[in-house]
Amino acid sequence: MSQPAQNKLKSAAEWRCEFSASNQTDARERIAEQLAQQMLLLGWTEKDVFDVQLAFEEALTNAVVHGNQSDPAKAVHLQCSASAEEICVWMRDEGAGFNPENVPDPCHPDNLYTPSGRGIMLIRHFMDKVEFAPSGNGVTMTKYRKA
Amino acid sequence: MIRTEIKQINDCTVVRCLTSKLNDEYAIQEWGDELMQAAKSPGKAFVVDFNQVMFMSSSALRVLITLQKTLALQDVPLLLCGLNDSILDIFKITNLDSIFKIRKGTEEAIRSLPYLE
Repeated sequence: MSQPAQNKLKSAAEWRCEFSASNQTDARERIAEQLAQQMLLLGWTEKDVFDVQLAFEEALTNAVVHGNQSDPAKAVHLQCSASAEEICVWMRDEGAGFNPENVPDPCHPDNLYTPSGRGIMLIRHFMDKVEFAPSGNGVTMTKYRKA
Repeated sequence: MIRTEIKQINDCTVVRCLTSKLNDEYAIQEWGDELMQAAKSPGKAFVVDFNQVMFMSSSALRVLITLQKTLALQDVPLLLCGLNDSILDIFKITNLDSIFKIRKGTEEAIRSLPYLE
């Protein structure tokens, strides 16, 4: 079941949010759209917002579809923080986990026509720091403000 | 739901995507079904116009790859057009710009088709 978002504006320059969602629409409406608005208020560029939104969507799809196997009884747990210096998104699903190192390189010529497997690559490209939980069912993604 | 407009122009199927964000997994699956239905009678070429699209996740890439493979079996070219810079970056990062024919706009895409020469 979805829970109300707990948004805390700690100061004018910092925003935090925690939420658990059982589907993509809830997570998108309660977290991603607010995060995008906060990023713009904090002076991040439209391109930065695009990058973080894309990484968020890719991680969310992995969590809901691959992690939780689209089981509505399972939730995705999210925490986000935004400041003028960095954006951090933490996400954990209730699935069995996976080893990101086992995902084939989607850019290899043999894999170009493989329909899936690009999400992790895009997350790593658009975020500055990406750490997968040892359990394989969580990820922490950080983007830093360019000087 | 992803809104699309499908027309036949110069014996080509031209699909205009009218939704600005292609990010919902289930909506993208439905959109993929709609494209695959249109690909059953594609004409001499199949054009997908993303001029109205501001955001695209990798789920949409999956649909386009499947569409490309289906059309290739019929020897029908697939052309993509109207990609903004951020979305074009996604194709470049994933090397998919090497397997898709990408044009600026629908008119240029149709003009570039060899059978019209």
